[in-house]
Amino acid sequence: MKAVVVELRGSKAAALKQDGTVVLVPNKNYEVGQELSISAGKSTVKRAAVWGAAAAALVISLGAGLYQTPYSYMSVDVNPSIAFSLNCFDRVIHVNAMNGESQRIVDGLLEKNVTNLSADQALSLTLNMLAQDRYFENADETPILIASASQSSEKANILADELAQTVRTFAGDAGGYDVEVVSGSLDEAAKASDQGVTLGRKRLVDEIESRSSSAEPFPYQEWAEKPLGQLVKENRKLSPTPASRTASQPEAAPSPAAQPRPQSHPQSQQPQYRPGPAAGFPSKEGQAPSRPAQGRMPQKPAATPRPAQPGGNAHAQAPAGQAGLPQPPFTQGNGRPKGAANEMPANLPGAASRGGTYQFNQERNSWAAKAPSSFASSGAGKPIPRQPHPLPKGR
Amino acid sequence: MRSRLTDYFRRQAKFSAELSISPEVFSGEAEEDSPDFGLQAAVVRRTASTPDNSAIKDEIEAANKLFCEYGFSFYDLAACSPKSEKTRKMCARAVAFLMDRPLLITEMRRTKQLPLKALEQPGIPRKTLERHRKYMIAAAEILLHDDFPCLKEYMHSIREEGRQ
Repeated sequence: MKAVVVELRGSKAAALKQDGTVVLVPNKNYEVGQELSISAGKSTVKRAAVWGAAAAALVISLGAGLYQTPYSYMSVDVNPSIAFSLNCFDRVIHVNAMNGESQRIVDGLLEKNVTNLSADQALSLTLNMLAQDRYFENADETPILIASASQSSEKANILADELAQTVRTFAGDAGGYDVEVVSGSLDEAAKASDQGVTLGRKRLVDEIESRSSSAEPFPYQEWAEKPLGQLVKENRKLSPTPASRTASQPEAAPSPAAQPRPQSHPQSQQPQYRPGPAAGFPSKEGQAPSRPAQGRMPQKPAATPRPAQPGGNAHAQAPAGQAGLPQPPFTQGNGRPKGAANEMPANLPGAASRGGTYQFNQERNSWAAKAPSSFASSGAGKPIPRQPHPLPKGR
Repeated sequence: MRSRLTDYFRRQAKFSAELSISPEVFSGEAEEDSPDFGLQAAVVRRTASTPDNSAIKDEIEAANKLFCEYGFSFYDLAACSPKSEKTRKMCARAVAFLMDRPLLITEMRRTKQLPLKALEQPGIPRKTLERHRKYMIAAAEILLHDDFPCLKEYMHSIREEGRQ
């Protein structure tokens, strides 16, 4: 576009363009009145291309940033403690070995490209590797503790459900294994990471600390480094009696007998939960692994009765349901249903993995898996409901 | 001494691309018997083809003087010129409206201010008028004055768009 230089000021020249506008251009030794040829600006196509490229770059950079931003947390404790950082798509972005024993497992996971796998795939892979390393040979001595945390408690619960389902699928509803899934907040998980432990282990040690009656300062770090089985045993030992817990925590175990059972879960359609040896795992007696029958959990061998628990589950003390009223899936203190009321609404997500701690939601008029039980009883108003530890069997 | 010579030749290196020519050549007189006649002829051709822009230069100076009465110059117009096509059309409409009303022109010249209130009309927000105040005064003055025929050519599009 033609333009004429109308004024000069230092390194800039004002030029009157043919469309009647005045623009500043670099003064290349111009004179006032000199005619110039100024480009009319970028074409529409070029401008659109530039904007398109900028938008694409923005989307890509935002997407990459979003993908790499930790949103959720997951940890697996068998005795090796492994923590996973997940993004908002529930994909693994980091794996951390939380104790020396787990470093080898983490190395193996990284070799198998655990990053970018989904949370349940990563959990399955981890459990497989642990099984290969013979961590599950002695099932009764090997509790499995899964913890999840997220920026929203709802998301953490959903993640816990998914993880519980994954464990159940993996173990084939392993009757001989103590599986516990807990969920919490990211702050809690961050605090646990600062202390060098997983969220699940932190919960357990916190529980023991709160129950400890010793006048001496609690050796937290020493406890945090103890094997998981020992922690579970100690926690069980320190648990209050079932009667006192039931009396003191009526909210933690509301009697579902008073609630009507929803029609959508008829009793006849619910498969019975009968614990048995885990499919895929070698049994204690050296028997071949057995798959459960379709729709049923494998039968727990009768030769391994569980002794009465000193710190039983609050549900175990709840009054039995009356005839015609809904029967709560009370547990025996080991996270598994008991007696005629043992029918587990298997179609409820994560019910089994939560150790049978599910409740009837009066507002929603439906059965729902309660937030993952912890090693302690829950209190109203707490962000994470705490339940009696369903890893009961005194060994 | 060696360093000084090195420095000198380095300083003079920037003039190595220049050719010295007699000052008479710039007045259009090339010496035919000169050894660098070809060079001189080229310079004469180039200087002869340079357009005479003294007319527009005078117009610009006169316009600048006129704008000074309003308190701005051509350089200030760069900041308040409409950038987008839409704004330019709005300004053109306002200028056309102003030029069609001699009373407003008289008022503007007397107060040295743009009669914003009178120019406010549907489709031309007051904010736009205020933002491009100086530009509209300049456009109106250039288009109204008969002394700026060359500058009027550059403002022609504003005039045309204002009439539409």
